[in-house]
Amino acid sequence: MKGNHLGEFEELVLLTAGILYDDAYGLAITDEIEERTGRTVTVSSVHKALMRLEQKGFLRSHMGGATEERGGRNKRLFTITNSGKEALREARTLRNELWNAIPKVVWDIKMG
Amino acid sequence: MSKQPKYQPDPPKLATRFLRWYCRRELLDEVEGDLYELFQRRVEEQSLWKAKALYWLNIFMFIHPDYIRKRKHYPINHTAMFKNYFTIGWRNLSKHKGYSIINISGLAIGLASATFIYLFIIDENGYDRFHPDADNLYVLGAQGKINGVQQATVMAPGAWVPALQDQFPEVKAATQTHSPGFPAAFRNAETDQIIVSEQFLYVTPTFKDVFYFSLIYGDPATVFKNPGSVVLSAKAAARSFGSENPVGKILEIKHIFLSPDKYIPLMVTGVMEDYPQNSHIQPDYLLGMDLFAKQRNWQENWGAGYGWFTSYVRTTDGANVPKLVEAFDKVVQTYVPKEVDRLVEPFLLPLKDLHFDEELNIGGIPRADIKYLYIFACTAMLILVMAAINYTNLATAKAQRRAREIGLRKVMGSNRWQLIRQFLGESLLTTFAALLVGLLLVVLFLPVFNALSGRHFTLTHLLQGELMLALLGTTLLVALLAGSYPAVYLSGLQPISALKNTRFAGGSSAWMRKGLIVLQYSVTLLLIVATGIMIKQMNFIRNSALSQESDQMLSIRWSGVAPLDKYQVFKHLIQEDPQMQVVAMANHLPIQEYFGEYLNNIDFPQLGDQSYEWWALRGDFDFPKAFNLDLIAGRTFDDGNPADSNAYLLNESAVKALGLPVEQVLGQSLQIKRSYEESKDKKNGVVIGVVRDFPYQSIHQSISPLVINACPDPLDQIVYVKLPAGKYQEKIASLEKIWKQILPGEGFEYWFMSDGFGRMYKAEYRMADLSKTFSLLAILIACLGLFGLSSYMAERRSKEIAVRKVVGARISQIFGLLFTPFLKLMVFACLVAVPLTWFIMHRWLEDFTYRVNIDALIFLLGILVVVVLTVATISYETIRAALANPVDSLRNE
Repeated sequence: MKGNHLGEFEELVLLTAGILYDDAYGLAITDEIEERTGRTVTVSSVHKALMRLEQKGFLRSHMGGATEERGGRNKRLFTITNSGKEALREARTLRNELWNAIPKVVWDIKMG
Repeated sequence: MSKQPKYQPDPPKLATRFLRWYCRRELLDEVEGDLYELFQRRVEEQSLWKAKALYWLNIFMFIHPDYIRKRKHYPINHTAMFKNYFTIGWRNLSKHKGYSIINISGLAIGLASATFIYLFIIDENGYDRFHPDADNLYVLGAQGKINGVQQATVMAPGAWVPALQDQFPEVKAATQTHSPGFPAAFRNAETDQIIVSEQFLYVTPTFKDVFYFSLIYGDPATVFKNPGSVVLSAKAAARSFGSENPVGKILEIKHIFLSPDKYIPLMVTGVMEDYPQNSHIQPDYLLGMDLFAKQRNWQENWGAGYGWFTSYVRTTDGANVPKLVEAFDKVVQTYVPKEVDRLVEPFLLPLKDLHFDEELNIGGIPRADIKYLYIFACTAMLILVMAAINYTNLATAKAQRRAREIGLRKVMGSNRWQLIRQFLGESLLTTFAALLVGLLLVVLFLPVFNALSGRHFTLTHLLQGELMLALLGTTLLVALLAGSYPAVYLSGLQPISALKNTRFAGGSSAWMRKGLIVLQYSVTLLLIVATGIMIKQMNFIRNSALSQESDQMLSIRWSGVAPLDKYQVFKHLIQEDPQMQVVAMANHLPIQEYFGEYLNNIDFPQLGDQSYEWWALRGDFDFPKAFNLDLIAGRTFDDGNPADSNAYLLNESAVKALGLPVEQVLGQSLQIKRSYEESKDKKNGVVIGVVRDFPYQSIHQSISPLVINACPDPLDQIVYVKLPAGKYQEKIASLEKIWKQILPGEGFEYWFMSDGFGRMYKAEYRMADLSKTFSLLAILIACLGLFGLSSYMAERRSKEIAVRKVVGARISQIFGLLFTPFLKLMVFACLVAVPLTWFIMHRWLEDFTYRVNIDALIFLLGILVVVVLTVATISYETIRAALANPVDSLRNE
């Protein structure tokens, strides 16, 4: 688990990249996150996260998809690698285990 | 739904340029694209303004180390590259020796001029700074309103300094000095050697606590303990006593106020180091104030017109000077007698500012006009700039030559910055070489500069830290300025076009060159015309002195040296020589501004109560005749008429001041007394004639009212003898013989009257001289520049010229070819320079009440000079081109 630790935001970005699997690029991912979570996210932070994820090996990118809306400029399109999928699965499993370890009592007591 | 072409505004261009500048190339597309999409979306959904603002915000938020472009790091092998740069630079210099010489000499001249000016400025700024604690030294002065006009003087009533010393602890020390104004004769009884000098001061014993007082012999604490003591400067001691220690010896003094008829002994108690040249006082003899008889009396004076010392104050560190002055003012006001209406408000002026203060008057002390300082500095800078311009011009013009080298370097992988560094290095090399040559020039021409500026600079002055720093800084600055444009231009040449060896017109660089040439022409024109006008004005001044023959008028000091009763004998003996018939006596002429005591109070009882303050000239009966005064009414003095000792002549301005027609003025009675005399000492007189105005003061002022009387002044007597032209030495020798006959043992001191007038305009004469020199230098540099450019142009068009010659062009046509571009630039320069020059010279002439007018002739002359210069430099190239074999240039394809 060294260096492959997935931050919360990074996980979000990675998941969204999976959702948009065909057209996963910076701006689209940003829009999707904003829509689904209601959080205001800047396109620059998403780009940086994508770069980090690619450096960690969870994403693979290729250039393509120039459109008129972009003034003819290319997009960098991301796809999840196998290690990326693995990291996602691990994260999910870890979360479930922790979830299950919480005693029932905590859920019943009503506080604050 | 048909797709309509949508209006797509562009996102802010500046922001995009910024992004493209910092962002990594490989990431640029995606970032820019995303932002572009966002922008268009926001334009639709929100507003254009908001879209733009958010665009800027986004661009800034992308700044992150991972996104920033990596500077290409070329592994530069420093030592090897620098060696290469040096070698190439050196080769360049030696291959094109002609251009190198032009550049280096131009820059050397510029740097040398800058060095001289720095020397001067450093000296001026350092005036009076050599005293210990110089920052706390002040001159005590008095100011006030007289007749509604605010005036000030740097003397203070005698009681002020003792009061300051007693009552104010912030005053660490204070001293009073007095300079009687008339020279004294100092006699060494042993050797019977007499020295006449005006450089002596009475000082109070506290002098040593205020001023620099470093004694070679003697004890500073006790030098003035005993009455009758004198301290000599090293110079004065060497004059009278040679190299031996004079302490304990007797030096005798004879002075009109102290002891008019005999020598009294003074004890030499010390020898002090000479003051440096940038000091406002140069005391050669310091006498104890006890010798000054009126000291006690004057020290009780709080504000009356008589009894003022030059006073200096030294404060403690951090003293609050304005408050001190305020508090002291209150003290003064309580003691000042009520009826006094003179200057009675004290003020403290920092000693280091004294030198530059134009308004205050201290007798005969050289004052700087800070205007001139600025003008000198500007001129030197201009010359330097012109030399730098030459360098830039030549370097860019010769770009063609180095194009192949640059192209090759770029192909081998040099980036732009490396090339810039290379060319800047070359300009640094050239400039430093010029610095060395320039320093050589400075050493060679130092005596000339000393003569021009009236100072005594030595090699030690050149080694001052300030100067070397300034010079180094200037050199670097010039190297950078001159070399920056060529460096940028040359490094920007594209390799392909460079290697293809195409000729380029050099668009933007050509404009720059033209602009610089226009600048050079303008500066040269300005300097030439300005010099011409200055010379004209100076000649005008020289020619309108007291009489046309003032050059022949010899002045011999009489008062203070010889008794009045011997004058007639002297005069008759002189007049035995048929060539020396004109002999007269009068005040010292010209009358300087600090001769305040010569102001007189004059009343005309028949005309009313009004009292006038005018100058008076007092001489003998022959005075008007000797000076060719033009009588316009009445009569002049009559030798035989004894009543004429009370007769007065008025000048035109005096009559005008009275506001009466000339005829009514004749026969008026008047009462006159000197400004410092008591009212009871008034003398009666009557007006017998009116003379035309003649300049007897500085030409800076208009002629003031004047009365002339035939009784010699008791205090100021100068004998004037008109010498025949060309026989000066001979006649002066015979005058000296006559002098020794009747006045053995007295010092024979003489000078030409025109010297006195000349001294008033020392600053202006100096201005004119320096202006002449700098004009020549500027012309020289302009010529160098023109020469370089024209030879370059001729070379560039050598093929064209060759073809023209083959087709049958004559030399004159080729000349026209080379000359026309310069002609156009010259015309432009004239348009710029002429109004500017006119304006500047007009302002300068305003300083003089009597001035010449600026006429077109001078301008035409200046333009002619410039044209001739251009023609001369170009003709060299033309002749060379004409004589060259066209085949040679055409062959080299």
